[in-house]
Amino acid sequence: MAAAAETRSPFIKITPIGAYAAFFLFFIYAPVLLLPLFSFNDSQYVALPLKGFTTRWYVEMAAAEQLQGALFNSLKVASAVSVVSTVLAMLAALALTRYRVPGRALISGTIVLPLVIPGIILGVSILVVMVQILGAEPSLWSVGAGHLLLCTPFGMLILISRLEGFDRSLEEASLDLGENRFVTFFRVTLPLAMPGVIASVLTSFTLSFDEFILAFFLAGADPTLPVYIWSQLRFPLRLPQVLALGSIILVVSFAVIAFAEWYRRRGVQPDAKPG
Amino acid sequence: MDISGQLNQEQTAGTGARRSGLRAWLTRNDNARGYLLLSPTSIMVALLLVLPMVALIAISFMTQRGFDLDTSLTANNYQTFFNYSEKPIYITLLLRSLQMSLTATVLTIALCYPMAYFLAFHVKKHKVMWLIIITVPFWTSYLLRIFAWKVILGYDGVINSGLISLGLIAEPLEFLLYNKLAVMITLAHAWIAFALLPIYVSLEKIDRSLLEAAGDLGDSPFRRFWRVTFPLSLPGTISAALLVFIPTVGDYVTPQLVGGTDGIMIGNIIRTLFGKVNNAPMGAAVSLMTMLTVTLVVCMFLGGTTVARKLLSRV
Amino acid sequence: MARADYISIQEVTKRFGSQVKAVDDVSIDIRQGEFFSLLGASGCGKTTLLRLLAGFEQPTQGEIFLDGQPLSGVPAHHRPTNMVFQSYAIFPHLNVVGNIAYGLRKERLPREELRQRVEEALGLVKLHGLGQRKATELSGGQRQRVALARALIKRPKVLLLDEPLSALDKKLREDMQIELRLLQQEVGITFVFVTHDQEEALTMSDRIAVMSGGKVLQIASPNELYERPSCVEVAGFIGQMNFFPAEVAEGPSEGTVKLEVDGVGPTLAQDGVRDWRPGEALTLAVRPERLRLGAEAQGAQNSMNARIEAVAYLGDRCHVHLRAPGLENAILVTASSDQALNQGDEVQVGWQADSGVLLVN
Repeated sequence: MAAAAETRSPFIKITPIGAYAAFFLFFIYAPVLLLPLFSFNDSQYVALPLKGFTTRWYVEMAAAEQLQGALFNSLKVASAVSVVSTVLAMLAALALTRYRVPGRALISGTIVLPLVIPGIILGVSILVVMVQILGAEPSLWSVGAGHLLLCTPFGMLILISRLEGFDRSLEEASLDLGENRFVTFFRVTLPLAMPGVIASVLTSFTLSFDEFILAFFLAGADPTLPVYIWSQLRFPLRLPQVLALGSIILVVSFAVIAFAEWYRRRGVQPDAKPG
Repeated sequence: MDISGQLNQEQTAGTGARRSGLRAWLTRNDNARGYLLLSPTSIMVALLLVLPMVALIAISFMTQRGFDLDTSLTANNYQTFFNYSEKPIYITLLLRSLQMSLTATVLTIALCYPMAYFLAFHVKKHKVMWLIIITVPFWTSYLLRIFAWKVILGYDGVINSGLISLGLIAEPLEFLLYNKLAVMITLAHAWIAFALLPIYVSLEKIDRSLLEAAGDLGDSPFRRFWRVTFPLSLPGTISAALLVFIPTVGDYVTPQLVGGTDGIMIGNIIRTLFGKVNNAPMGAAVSLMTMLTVTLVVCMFLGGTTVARKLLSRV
Repeated sequence: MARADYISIQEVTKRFGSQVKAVDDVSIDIRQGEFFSLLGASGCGKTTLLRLLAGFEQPTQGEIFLDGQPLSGVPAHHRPTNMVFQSYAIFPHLNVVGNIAYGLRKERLPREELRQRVEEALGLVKLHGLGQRKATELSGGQRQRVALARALIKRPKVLLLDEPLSALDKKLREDMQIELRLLQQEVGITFVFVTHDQEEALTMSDRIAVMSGGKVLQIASPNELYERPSCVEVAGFIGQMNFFPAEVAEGPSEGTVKLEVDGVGPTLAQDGVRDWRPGEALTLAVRPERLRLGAEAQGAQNSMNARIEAVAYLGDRCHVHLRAPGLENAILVTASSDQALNQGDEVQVGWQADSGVLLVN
């Protein structure tokens, strides 16, 4: 494992570890790229060899009414969740980075806990409260609630890392110059944290949009898109349509997250030090 | 913040009294603001996490009778759980799930450690680009990724049809799908990008001058890795292991799609209990036992790694 | 008429947690229009004291008054003070004008007046024409000026400066020291300046408060601090100092005290302040430039023999290190380069009775 400094060529040298890296990337992407590949394949079955190019699966998929309904549901939930979770995440991130509140380790730990609890347990516990205790029917609201629980910690972690990179005296300077904390937030903190906010919104949106486990337990009559896909998996005839749908989701998610990551890493660094 | 008026009145009450009242208010004030900011999120978590967990624990001590819930408290469900002779399925599945998750975790870590190493030490430019390229597939639908593996490993799937059309085999390979192997490959693939990040971060943070010093003091590259790099990357590796292990124990989607009967995990039972069987109390009990076991394993693991780290530092 | 207690810090203590006293029972009165420095090593409490003035911290005990008004309970954004931060805290997402005019938003000035005020501020810190420059494109020195302008444009009653020159290189720092001093005199505002650099404090200030461990050791003008430090710690902090442990042989008569200095013998010293008693242990402190060597030591009231250990040539002066039998520490003498002083030479070291300061142990 020689840590050789190969500065001559920007490309990977064919070392054992370089070869491994190539294999690794192949391993990650191959299954994922298979979906778009076969979505254009003119065959009912997902098998090699390929049988020719067609877009009819996409056409059939777009026409399916149930699918449009599920898509719309997912969009509704994801939009609401991404906004609310980012607001909650921002409030929590501000509190945790700017104040020395006693017990904050406990509180922040609890907020992040959903990330390490198996999704099924989160789902059933919320279900228990809803059905057994409240006697309510699962619906898009319960899905939204579950997603909120899952997305907020992600947003919070993103925003904490963004807010911690701040020169603390920037906000103090604003106070010193006469603005109260509320105005300071909007004039200084928010503009500088904006890449983090955008990243949080986009990440939460994608997370909620793609999320299956919680949605499966908590959805009622109105399925979200992943739940709809699951229901279609039973029908082999519908398989290529599912592939088409999956491919679109893949590409869009890819684009959104790539954009969010890129955007988060640019933007004015708020920790500018005196030159 | 218009308390100055209020405080002016307090001033006339004498220096001592003013100071203590003032000080208390101001201390409260700063922390109070912090708590206020935290409250919306805390309330959300209390309602959606804490309360449901409590409810889960509570219901696990109840019994389902048909469509009604008998709320009298009893430990029956737990007794059933541990009753290996009559209902071996729970313990069996729990142990099997733990075993599969552990194996999948080890597999995942083994697969992504070299890649993380490559990124940290062999890639000079555009590390961020690499990270994005590696992590982005992870952000797409979990369901779709598992489904992709089903499609790859299946009887008529990509691997088989590819190998047949190439003439390498005559009959499709049957051992690829609907068993534990399939589950583990799929899990590894699903979580690999997630596990890579903590390992990469801790490798990246290693001060390069430490490695140079080790080399300077006579260590071969291999020894250097074992004595310096690996121990320093342990915190990240441990985090990665936990990040993979904990969620995979309860996974039911993967076993359902690619596991067949051989690859069924405890998550499937929980799902069935809440679904078709409609025995929420039992489902709750099984869920909690699963969580407890996972926590136990994690604690043992963390304790074990502390010991391991002490041993390593003596090498 | 300038109030002597324009800023009045009265018995202020600041505790963090239950143990740490960052500021310990500090009382200081600062005159209006004064350039006042808080001097001390890191951790001595000077920055905390400044933040207490600014309103970013509240005193655990005690009270601060500004122009007769109590400041406790008044939050930072309502105080008539403004601060120049150590990191300058220039808003990176705004340009120079945006930064400077930031604090004027609340006043809702008509556009023309705002423009004039900004121009005025730019001129004050010699940044004309740089108004549209983005904050991220400024040099360290320019940022510092923007920070100054941003604070001064609000016409505060007090300007607080937290080690604003520490990030600049030596030449720039020295230039800025003079500029700041002139600026302060021009504007007439009370400056409270925090620094750990004693040379800086001596150069710029009207008066200095030397702090250590949260307490104020001495408040005095630069000259008085240098010539008449009140204790060993202050004496050692400001400039270089020779310390001789000693005992009082005879109490003061007409200001003259007879001492028995360890390893030196009978010594005469001058002290009109304290009533020294025979047998008291004390420290005699003498500045390196007050000690004379060789021929120049002839006729001095006090003298001793020592051997030259090392000579550091500094152009017009030399720093001479000497060792004397019976003295634990080396003696430091600043002598002119004209004298022939070589390593190993045995020379006489002499000083006058009024050259030293008597300090309590």
